[in-house]
Amino acid sequence: MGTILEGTRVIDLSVARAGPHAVRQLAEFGATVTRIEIPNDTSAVGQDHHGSDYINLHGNKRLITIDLKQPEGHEIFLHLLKGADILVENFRPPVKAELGIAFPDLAPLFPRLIYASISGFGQTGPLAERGAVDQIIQGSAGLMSITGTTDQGPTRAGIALADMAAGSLLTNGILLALLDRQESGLGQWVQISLLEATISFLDFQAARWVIDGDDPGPVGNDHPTLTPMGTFSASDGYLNVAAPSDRLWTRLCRALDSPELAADGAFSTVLLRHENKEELKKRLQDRFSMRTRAEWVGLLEEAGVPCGPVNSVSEVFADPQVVHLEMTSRIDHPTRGEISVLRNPLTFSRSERATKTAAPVPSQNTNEILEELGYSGEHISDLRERGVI
Amino acid sequence: MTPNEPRSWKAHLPPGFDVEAIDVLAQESLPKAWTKRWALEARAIVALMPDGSRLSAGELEDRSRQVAGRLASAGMGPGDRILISASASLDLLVVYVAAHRLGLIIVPMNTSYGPTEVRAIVTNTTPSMAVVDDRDSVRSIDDAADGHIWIVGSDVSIPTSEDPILDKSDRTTPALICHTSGTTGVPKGAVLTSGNLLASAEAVRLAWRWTPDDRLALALPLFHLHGLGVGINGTLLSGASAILLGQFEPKSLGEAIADQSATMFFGVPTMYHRLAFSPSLSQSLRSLRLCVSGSAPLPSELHGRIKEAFGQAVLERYGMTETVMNLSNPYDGERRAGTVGFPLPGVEMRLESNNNGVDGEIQLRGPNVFRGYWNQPGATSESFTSDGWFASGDLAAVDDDGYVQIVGRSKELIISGGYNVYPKEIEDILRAHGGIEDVAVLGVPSEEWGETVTAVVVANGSITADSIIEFAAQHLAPYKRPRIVRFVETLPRNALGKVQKDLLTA
Repeated sequence: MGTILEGTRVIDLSVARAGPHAVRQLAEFGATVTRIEIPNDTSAVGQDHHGSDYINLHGNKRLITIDLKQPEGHEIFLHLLKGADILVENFRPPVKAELGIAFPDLAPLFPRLIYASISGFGQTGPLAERGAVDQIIQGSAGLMSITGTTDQGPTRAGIALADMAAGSLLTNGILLALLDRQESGLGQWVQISLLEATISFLDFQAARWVIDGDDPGPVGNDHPTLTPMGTFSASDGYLNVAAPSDRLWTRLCRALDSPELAADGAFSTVLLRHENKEELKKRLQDRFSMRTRAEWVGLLEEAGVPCGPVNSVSEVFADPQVVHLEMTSRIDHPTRGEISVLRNPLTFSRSERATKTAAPVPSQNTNEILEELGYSGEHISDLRERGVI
Repeated sequence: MTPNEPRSWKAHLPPGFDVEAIDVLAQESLPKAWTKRWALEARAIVALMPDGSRLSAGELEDRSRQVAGRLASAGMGPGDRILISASASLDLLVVYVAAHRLGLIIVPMNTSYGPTEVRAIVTNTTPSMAVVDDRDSVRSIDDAADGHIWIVGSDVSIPTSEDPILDKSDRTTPALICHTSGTTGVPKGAVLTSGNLLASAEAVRLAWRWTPDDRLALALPLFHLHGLGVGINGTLLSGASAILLGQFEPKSLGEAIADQSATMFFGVPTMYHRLAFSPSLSQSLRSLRLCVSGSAPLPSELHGRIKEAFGQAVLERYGMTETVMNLSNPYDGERRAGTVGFPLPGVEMRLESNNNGVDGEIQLRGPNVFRGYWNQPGATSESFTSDGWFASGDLAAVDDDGYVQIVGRSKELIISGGYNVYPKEIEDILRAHGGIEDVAVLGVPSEEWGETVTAVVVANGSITADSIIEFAAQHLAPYKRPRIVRFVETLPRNALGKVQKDLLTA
């Protein structure tokens, strides 16, 4: 047993969510992460180092504050890179060039370094110099145009999907580059943008356009191409039902005790059910409103029809299955006391996840990290006085 | 008042040349560019020895592939350091090329270094292999590396079992760690990428009209950028050839030029100084298409003497360890003595003006400029301005025609009584004194003046300090006159003839 990434050293220069998410996944498998923030920065969003969002994103990391614009700050940064395997950053291209920390600046000095970048729109091209946030990309990448209902208009996903997609894919890229490095001996520049990540997550919706020339629109809670697959209202709450194939359709009709539906020629094939989906949804909804959510889930499960409740987040964590999976663990936080934090969702048969530790507060590790690099106490105080750290 | 602007690099190219199409990094890296060139003309001669042995492009491709296989069999791979410190030979050229093709980082080291200098370089770069041909070096390298190193001769006799992946380097791949000449303190290892080296070789290829018909008489050592970065890299990139003389000796240079039909010679001022006193070489030197000088300033007077004696207008250019080639006098047009011309293709230069508005520090940006020193974050961060230009430490002025004149090192700049004094100016004046054979001028800390101008003199016969100060008074403003004169037997110089002033102050 042991963590897979133990001994792997990561320098995290990223802000917002996508980069920190990528780094978090490495930290959760034992990588040693040093996160760099700008000293006394109160201007950025998410600078509350005691809030749930920060605690959730930045566990298992050490934090040092460095002003990279000052030559001595740049020097500390280069010292940190000497022992590093991976650098994660999300500066816009002109900013990293100005700071002297772009890939071409570092690759000659650290040939084994894996340089991992997140951008809004890509490192090159007409929008390369523009920054972006999740909200903007959910729109630009088409996600909002296919979410929600026609009546509502474009709708944003309830999570920072563009950020999470980009961060997750970047972690994949970093691990592939680590694999490559074992053979080649060299690091390389791994890039992802929120735009590319979200477009790739459009998946079959994008394929409908690029292959079929079919421009998809919003379909609310229904599956865009399969029926019935959607959300229905029971007498006391919502449930999801998925029964598009002939076999599942037959089972659904039996569970609903609706032989007339099963016999109706308008719904006899996969294609006809999709063609006549509005009529079908109405007839199904009439039936579902007659019983409670729990009753329907029981009946449908017995019949072998995929279904489930539409839970609130609080219901999720009370769900016996979720409790069984131990999705959270308890940690001690210096200001929040004993709190629950989420675990990494992956499970391995031989390897462990790293034990969760609390997210660091500013300057928590600055001295200890600088001392490890050989800076004296006096030197550190001087650097702090002059705002370098 | 602001300093003049240097002439545009476009002035290096002949009229009608499509300058907008120039991309000195178009071929990405040296090995990619070289292999493409070899494929065009495999039978072309690329290198010759004075004894007549020679190497063709096809042979170089083949032999460098084999040697790369041997290096790989010894466990060497991309990013690993290989120290090279051996006399010029065809074998050495093959190892050098093989190392580039395998993506190794080459650490050239002066063959005359003693144990202390060797230790500094080995400790800094931790090479996994050293290519040497000298018994003393073997011992000091082995000691410095604590035995954790392969030491081989230029023939790299290691059994092969690998068929390595070659020519993958790109413009960001580190290819060479070149230690600064050390005229100021501890040597620092400047990391040059395959792109930096390609950019410089391509720039001089274009500017100096280097063609496959050229043959370079190369008497420079192959452990320094002048010989490697300009001589060898340029020859291989141009599809030309080089005669590897191994060392400089006027008579054998003259023979090589005559017998092996050389068209070009690259030298340092000390070499030109000796050539100026070798009238018997007149015929062979006159036959050359181009003579280039670099690595140290070429005195105007020497420039004139070479022109008079051999009809050669020596083309002076300016390079640095950290930036390879920066500026050059033009091939066509006036090669102005006492200047280093103007930026080479791709190179951007500006002067960080002093208060006087005439001169300033040369700052550089471009594909030839390195990104830092190996293992020296402090030196790296200090050597760039906040907007990303390399601060060269050299002081220059630009004349009204856009030619750049180096006036000194900013680190050597003497500030006496609030006035800037450039040692080079004083040295040039004092050299004209018949009783002075050699001189170095430096500042000595002084309570009264901040620094006192001090002349360290190698006397030619009997001469007094007073007579030197008197002579200076005839030619120099009072604040520039040396107040202290010290006599020494010789001035400490590095392998390329630069005076090591740090040793004088110590």
